[in-house]
Amino acid sequence: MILQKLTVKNFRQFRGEHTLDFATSPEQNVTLILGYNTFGKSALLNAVNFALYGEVQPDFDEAEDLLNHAAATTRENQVEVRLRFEFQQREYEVTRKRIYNFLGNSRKTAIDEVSMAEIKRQSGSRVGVPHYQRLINRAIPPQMAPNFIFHGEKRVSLFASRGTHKQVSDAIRNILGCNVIEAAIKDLLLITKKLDRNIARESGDEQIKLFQNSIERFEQLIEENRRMIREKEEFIEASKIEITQLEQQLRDHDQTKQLQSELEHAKAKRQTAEVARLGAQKEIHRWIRESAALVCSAALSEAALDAIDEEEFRGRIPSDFQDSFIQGLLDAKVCICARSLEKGGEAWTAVEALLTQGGRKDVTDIALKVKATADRYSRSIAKARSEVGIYEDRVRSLDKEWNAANRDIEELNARLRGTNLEVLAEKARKRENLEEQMGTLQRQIGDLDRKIRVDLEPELQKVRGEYTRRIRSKPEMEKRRITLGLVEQLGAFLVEQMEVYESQAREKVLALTNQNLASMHRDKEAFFDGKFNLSLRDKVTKLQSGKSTGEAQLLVLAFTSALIHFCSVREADENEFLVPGTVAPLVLDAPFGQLDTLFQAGAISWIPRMARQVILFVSDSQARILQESPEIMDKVGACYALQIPHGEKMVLPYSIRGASVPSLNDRADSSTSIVRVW
Amino acid sequence: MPILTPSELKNLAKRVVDLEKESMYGDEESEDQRLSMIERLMIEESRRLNPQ
Repeated sequence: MILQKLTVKNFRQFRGEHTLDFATSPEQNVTLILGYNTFGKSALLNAVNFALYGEVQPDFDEAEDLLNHAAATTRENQVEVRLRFEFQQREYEVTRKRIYNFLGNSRKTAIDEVSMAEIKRQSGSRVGVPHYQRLINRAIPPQMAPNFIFHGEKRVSLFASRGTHKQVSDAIRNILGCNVIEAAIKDLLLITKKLDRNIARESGDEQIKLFQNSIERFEQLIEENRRMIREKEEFIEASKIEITQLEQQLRDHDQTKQLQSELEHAKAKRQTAEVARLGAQKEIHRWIRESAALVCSAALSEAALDAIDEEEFRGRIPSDFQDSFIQGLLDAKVCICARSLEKGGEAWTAVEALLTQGGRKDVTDIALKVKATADRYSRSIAKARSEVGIYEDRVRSLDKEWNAANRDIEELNARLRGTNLEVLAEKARKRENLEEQMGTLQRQIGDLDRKIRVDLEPELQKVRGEYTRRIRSKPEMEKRRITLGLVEQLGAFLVEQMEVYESQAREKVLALTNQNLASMHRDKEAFFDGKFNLSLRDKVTKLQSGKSTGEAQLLVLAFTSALIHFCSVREADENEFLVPGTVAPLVLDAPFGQLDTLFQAGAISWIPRMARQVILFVSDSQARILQESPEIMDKVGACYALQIPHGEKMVLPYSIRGASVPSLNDRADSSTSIVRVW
Repeated sequence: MPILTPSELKNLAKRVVDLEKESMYGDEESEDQRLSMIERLMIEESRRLNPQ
């Protein structure tokens, strides 16, 4: 199955109609949808689930209320989701509507309407598909869907809990398509009980009836005890998950402290940048004061020298010394040597030549002095210019530092908002209580289990033996007995078959999980412990890792990827007892929130390879991590951002691949909108 | 206990699983109907094994 287009109308945050076209090509198989928390990422993931199966996922908040609140206030009462997809080279569109009936102000009931059409590729005409659910269930069997459509961080919580055998076992059985075989085993057990009752009734033998009653009583008691064990185990499982989530929140508490310290660090950094920038600016001001005059002088001197150097002015620079003084001397009638200075005479001509020569020399000396000063200025100005260049660069770099620190501060403030330390202390107390309760429950389970094994089961076997012997003594019951034996034999065969399939599948999935882990450049490997809990350990030392959220995340990615691969390999499986596998899209919300930076790059680059089509819902901070990975960015065929109206929340714009997309829109109504980034 | 050969057992199991598949992925069908069909199949098979 390839998802092509999703349209939502009045679905949760989305008022009116909004459409997403998914990336469908094998070369660019990733669709990226950016959205801050509460902007509607989970709503869109659940819209896909709703379109396919008529229900949202069990962990979706306020699942019964799908209608957009703003739409409800205007008495619009219809939610609609349309999903267009390709399956086995044909195109289909399924449309689900939930129509609410308002009862007073708060209560409402709902009915669902569903239709599906095949869209003919050549003509575009639509042909109704009557058995739509059958077709969808073949495309992605519902029990397999949670491995394709899920919230990454929630799934990680399951795997980060202390025991994962139930999650692993359920996931493997579901992806293996064991549900028909399980249903058959359950039905054969019901038929066995019915046949037992019939034999007792038809035999007319009071002893057989008594045995039958005893068997039923023991079976009921065993079942009752098992039910109690299951309930307690489920409570323990739920407690483990809750404890994991609490521990995560408590770690977040530590992270809160860390965030606070990071915030203080960022503020100090911004302050330092600010002070340093002021210092650099002061230096520029000082330079203006001290060196600006120098620059002007140098410029003027250069201009003057250029003029002196010009050929046509040489020797013709106007000067009192040259013009008035020489003229005064020449106006004298007698030379100091007492010769007559008659104008045009020999002595006058000789004196004029000497004086002109002497005047020129003085002017030349002055010019040389000016030139030397100008050269000095030139050298100073070069130094001054380089000095101001350094200050300018410094101011620019400090501006960048300041902006980066400021961005960090805004982001850290956003993350710190909503942290309540008292609530966290309460969570710590709750965790202790849950752990205590779990201990009590484990002891109770042990008692119940012992009661079943030591008391009830041996008694049941004893009565069964008596019952069988008694029936065998009655030839008229032979036919019934043969049928009963047949049903029991068949049930035992199917149980054995399922165990074989499950064991083989477990081995294959483990091998694939390890292949995936190896591709993520880890020194870890996955393994099953004695109780089939899936964990990580060091490849060399074989020491089991602690259950950090980051490692659970890595394990989930590798394990889920293995399940998807295993499922696609089983697409053509013709095993008569199992539901065939499928090639389905991976629709993943919050895929790698807690990945350690050490292996983040390897794990992220793995995501496009997890399925034929990948639809990722990510926060802005996750998008920033993603854009560092060309392996994934080159695979993104479509990118969308979710926007909310102005004034609802102040958040930073999205930034991806250098493009900045506002996170707030200007629409007046209270609805998230979907913007295509590329 | 009737003795079915492995291939007979597998074949019978397949027929039961097919009924389950039909019920699960086919047209809607009640649980009672499905149980009756499986029970009938079992009775027929035991008659085949023990025709008297």
